[in-house]
Amino acid sequence: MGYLRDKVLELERELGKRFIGNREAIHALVLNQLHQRSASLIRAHRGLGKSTLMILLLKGICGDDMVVISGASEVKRGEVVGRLHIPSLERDGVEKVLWAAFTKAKGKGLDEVNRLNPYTSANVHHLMQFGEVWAYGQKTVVGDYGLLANENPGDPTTFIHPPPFYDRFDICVYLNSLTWREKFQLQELLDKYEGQLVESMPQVLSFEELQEARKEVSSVRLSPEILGQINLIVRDFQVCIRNREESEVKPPALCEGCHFIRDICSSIKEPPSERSTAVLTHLAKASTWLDGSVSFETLLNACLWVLPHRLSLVRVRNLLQDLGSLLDRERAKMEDRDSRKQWAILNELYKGYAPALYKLGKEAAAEDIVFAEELMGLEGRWVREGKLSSEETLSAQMGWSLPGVWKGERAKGR
Amino acid sequence: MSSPLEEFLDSQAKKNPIRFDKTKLSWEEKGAQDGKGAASSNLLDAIYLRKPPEETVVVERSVAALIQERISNLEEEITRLRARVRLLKIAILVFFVGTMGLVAETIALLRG
Repeated sequence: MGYLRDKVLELERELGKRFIGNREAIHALVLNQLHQRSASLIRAHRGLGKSTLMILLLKGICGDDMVVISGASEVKRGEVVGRLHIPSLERDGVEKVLWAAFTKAKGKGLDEVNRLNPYTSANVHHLMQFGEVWAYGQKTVVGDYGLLANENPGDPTTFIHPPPFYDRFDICVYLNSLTWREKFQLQELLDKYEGQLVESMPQVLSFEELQEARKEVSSVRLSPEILGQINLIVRDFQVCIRNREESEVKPPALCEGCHFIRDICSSIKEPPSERSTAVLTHLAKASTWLDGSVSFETLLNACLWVLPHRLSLVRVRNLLQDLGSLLDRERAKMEDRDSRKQWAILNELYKGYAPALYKLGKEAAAEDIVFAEELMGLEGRWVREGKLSSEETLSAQMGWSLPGVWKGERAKGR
Repeated sequence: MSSPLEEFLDSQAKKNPIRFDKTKLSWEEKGAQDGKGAASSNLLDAIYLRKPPEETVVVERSVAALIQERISNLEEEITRLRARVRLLKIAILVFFVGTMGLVAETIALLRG
């Protein structure tokens, strides 16, 4: 474990030697390499080094076994996956597919991903989703890889990719322009490497070593507290008592008159997918393995890489700052939960129905939708068991319901 | 305890332990007993009867609402009084100018 960990730390150091500033982004990208079929997206305006960072990292983990395709150049339909072997077709009438280098290479780079044509992006999407590619009715399994992509959010793109495509990228990091002091460092660096930053990057660890490291990271066991915090953060960004996911009306119109109008949920138009939970878990394991620990603060920080490309906010002035203020509210929400002792109350309520505890649980539910969802789940059980009448429930008193639950039967009983 | 959810709740319950005996829930916080079952700190007595408040003050929701209402009433009263003060200031200014005018008129008459 120590040997592989040292190698990964060395990779981060080598990247740091050749890429000035943006330490958080580099660390995020390195952490995200520590799980199978990792996919990372780098967003930055022109000339901030997003392609350089992408190639540096690919070289660091794959050496020459990497292929970068560029959305800016003309990538023909299907060519990125494979092409038909014409002599075989002409001579023997057999459709033989020559799989493209991009599918075979362990290191895959997508430059200017926002310019990829729909055919190429559909192929890449399928690759990221199923780990296989199709061409001319034949498929090949791609296996493990490391995929890095970059795009310029300020670029008026040729094609707008759908949200599910972006959701396939585990993380999305933003690069900042260099500070005054960092510009001096860049000048020194360019002199030192004589402008050959990328060429000078060594392959720090072999892909087999990276796979070994991925296996070790995957076997890391996270504490129940960290797992609970990951699930709570994601749920807080997803939950809506008016079931936003299936509603045609979206916030802020949907939130008019809602009891939870001041909560985090009212700031989110499109919630993050369930993949956010899986990615945060990967990153938490990677942090534990590489940095030696993971905390609630680490998770909140990781949300700045996991959520930006997965959700849309009601009002956006500066995505990362807006997301940062929502995460500050999330921190306060967690403290409130602790001070209400609501998990201890829920723990008791899971053991059995107790009217006095239930009353307190209802008070806590009025402050926290996630808790309300759990309590409503328990209420359903208690009503069926005859311990509670349906008129006493949160659903009846507040008019709330769990997603997918029809209140017709209960209304008939009243 | 087996599932991660139960393990999480159990860890949280250990971190923030509560005592529950059918009708009363309580917990200890920073050495002092606190909670829904515990009595409030009589903040109203401290405010209106000038009794010394406790080191840590626990306020019931109804008392907090009362204080909140009182503060908003006081703020409204301050706004009302400020408007009245402004009116009175203008009236004083008018009277002052009038008085000065009268004094000047009187002096002018006396001088012939």
